[in-house]
Amino acid sequence: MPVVYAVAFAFGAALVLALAVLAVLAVLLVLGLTAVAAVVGAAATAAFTVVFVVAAICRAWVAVLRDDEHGHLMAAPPDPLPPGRDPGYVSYVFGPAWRDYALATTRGAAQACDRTVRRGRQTSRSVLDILGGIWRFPDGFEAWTGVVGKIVFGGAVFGGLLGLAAGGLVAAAFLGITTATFALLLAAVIGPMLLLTAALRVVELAGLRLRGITVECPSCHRRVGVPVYECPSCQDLHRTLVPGPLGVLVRTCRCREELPTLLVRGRSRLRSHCSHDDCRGVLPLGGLTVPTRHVPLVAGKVAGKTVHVMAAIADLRAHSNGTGPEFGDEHTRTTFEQVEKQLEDVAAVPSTLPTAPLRAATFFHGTGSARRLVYLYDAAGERYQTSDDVAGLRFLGATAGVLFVIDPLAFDPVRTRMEESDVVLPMHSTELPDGVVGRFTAGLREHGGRSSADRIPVPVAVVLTKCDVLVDGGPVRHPYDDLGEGDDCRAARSAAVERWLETTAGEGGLVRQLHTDYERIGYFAVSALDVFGTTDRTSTRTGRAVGNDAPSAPLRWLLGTEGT
Amino acid sequence: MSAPPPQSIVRGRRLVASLLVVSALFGAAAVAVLLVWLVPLALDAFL
Repeated sequence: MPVVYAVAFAFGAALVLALAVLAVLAVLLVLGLTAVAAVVGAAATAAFTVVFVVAAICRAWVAVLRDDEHGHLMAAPPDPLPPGRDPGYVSYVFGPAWRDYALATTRGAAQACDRTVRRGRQTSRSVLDILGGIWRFPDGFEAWTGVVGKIVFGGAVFGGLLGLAAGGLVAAAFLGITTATFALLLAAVIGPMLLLTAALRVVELAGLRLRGITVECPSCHRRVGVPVYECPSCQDLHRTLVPGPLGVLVRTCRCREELPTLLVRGRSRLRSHCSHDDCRGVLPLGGLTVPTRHVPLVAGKVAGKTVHVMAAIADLRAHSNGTGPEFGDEHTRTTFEQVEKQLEDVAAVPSTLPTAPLRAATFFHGTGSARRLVYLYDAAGERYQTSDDVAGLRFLGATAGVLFVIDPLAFDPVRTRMEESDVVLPMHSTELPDGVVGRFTAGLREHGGRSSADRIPVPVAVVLTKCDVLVDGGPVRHPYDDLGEGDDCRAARSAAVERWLETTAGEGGLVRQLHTDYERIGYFAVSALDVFGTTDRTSTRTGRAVGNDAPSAPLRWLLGTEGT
Repeated sequence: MSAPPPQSIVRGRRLVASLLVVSALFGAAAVAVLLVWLVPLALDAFL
C-alpha cells in the first residue's frame, strides 16, 4: 500500500509540477505575446504617425499651391476708391509666399491632428481611434481568453501609445528641419531680390542722373520725378511703376496685364502722365530715354512764331527723308498736321490764343547719343506783355536755347519804305521786339538766379522771319544781298543779319543789348514759304540769287545738330 | 468660382514648391541621420 501511495503522490506531484510548468509557460507565452504586441504596436504606430503627419502636410501644401483661391494672400490690388496704393498685385515672394506657408502649415497641422490624436472623426479613423479599437477588440472573447486578450492587446495599445509619441517626435523633427530649411531658402531668394530691387532702382536713377536725363510736363512745365504710367489694357494709373514690392522686373496690373518696371525693359513705351495731382498732363511717349532740350519761341504778337515752329518741324522732317522727327505726343502730331495743311496759305494760320493752355510741342531730334527730346514753347505774344507774365513761365528754369522771332515788318524804317513802294505786305507785327526781349531776358535771369552783370550762357537764335518779302522785291535789301561767293558760311550769314538789323532796321540798340545779355548769339534769315524746299531765288531788286536759311536752321544750330 | 491667380503668383508658387521639395528632402535626410545616430545611443543606454 505504501508503494501505491508513493506512486500516487509521485504522479500527483509530477502532475502538479507539469501543471505549474505549463502555467509558467502560459504566463511567459502571454507576456511574450504582450511584449511582441507592444513592440509591433509601437513600431507600426510610430510609422503610421510619421506617414500620416507627413502626408497631411504634403496634401495641405499641394492643395494650397494648386488652389485658385488666393484671397488669403492679400496680394490683390485695392479697390480703386478711395485712392490707395497702385492697382497692381503684390509680388508673390514679398509677403504672399509666407501667407501661403502659414495657411499650408495650419491646415497641415489640423489634418495631422485629425489623422493621429483626434477621437470620433466621421470620415476616417485616427491613430488614437485605431488604438481604442484594438483595446476593445478582446471584449467579445469568452472567459479566460478575454483576460488573455486584454493583456496581449493592452500591450499592443501601450506600445502604440509609445509609438504615437515617438512618431510624433520624429514627425516634429522632420517638420521642424524642413520648415527651418524652407525659411532659409526663401530668405536666400527674397534677400537677393530685395537687394536686386534696390540696386535696379539706384542704377536706373544713377544712369538718368549721369546722362542728364529728365522729363518735364509739356502742360504744367514742371519736372516730373517718376511719371504716372497708364496700363495699356485698362488705363488704370500706376504712380510708382518702379522695381518694388509690386514686382521687381514686371508688375501685374489689376487687369492682369504685365507692365515693365524698368525703362530698359520698355517702361518708356507706356503712355505716361504728369505726377502732379493738379495737372496729370500727358507726357511725351519715350520720355526718360534721352535728355530734354527746352526751347521757347519769343516774339511779340503776330510775329509768326507758330508758322515758324511748324515750318521748322516740317523742314526737319524733310531733312530726314520724311522719317522724322518723331513726335513726342499725339497733341504735337495733331497740331502739326493741322498747321502743315495751313502752311500752303500762311495767312490762314490762326494766331495762338493767349487764353489757350501753353502746351509745348515735343519731338525727338538727332540720332544715337545726340538724340534729344525737344520741347518747343510757342507762347502767345500776349504772354510776354508784362514782367509778371514772363516771371510766371515755369519753363524758363529749364531753357536750353531761345528762338527770338523777329518780324522785319515790325520795324518802322522797313515797313514805311515797303508801304511807300506799294509792296503788298502780309500780316505783320506792330510791336518792336526790344520790350519783349528785355522782359524775357529779365525773366530768364530771375529763374536762373543770375545777376544782371553776368552774360547768360543760354544760346540765342535771332530769327528774322518773312524774308521772302525781302527777296521778292521792294526797296529794302535782303540781309544776304551783299554776301559774296565765299561768304556762304554760318558766321558770315550771322554777321550779315546782324548788320541788317543795325543798319537797315535801325535796331543797333537791340543788337548791343543782346550781346550784353547773352554769351552766344546766332542770326538767321528765314521764310516759312521755304518749308517745301529752300532754293535760291533771284532778287527782283538786285537781280542776284539770294537764299534764305532753312526754316529748321536756327533750331538745329541751337541743338548743336547743324550737320543733320 | 473665383478667378485663377495671376501668372506672377503661379510662377512664384512654382518657385516656392521647388524650394519646399528641396527642404523636404533635406529634412528627411536629416531625420534619417538623426535616427541612425540616436537609436543606437538609446539602445546602448537601455540595454
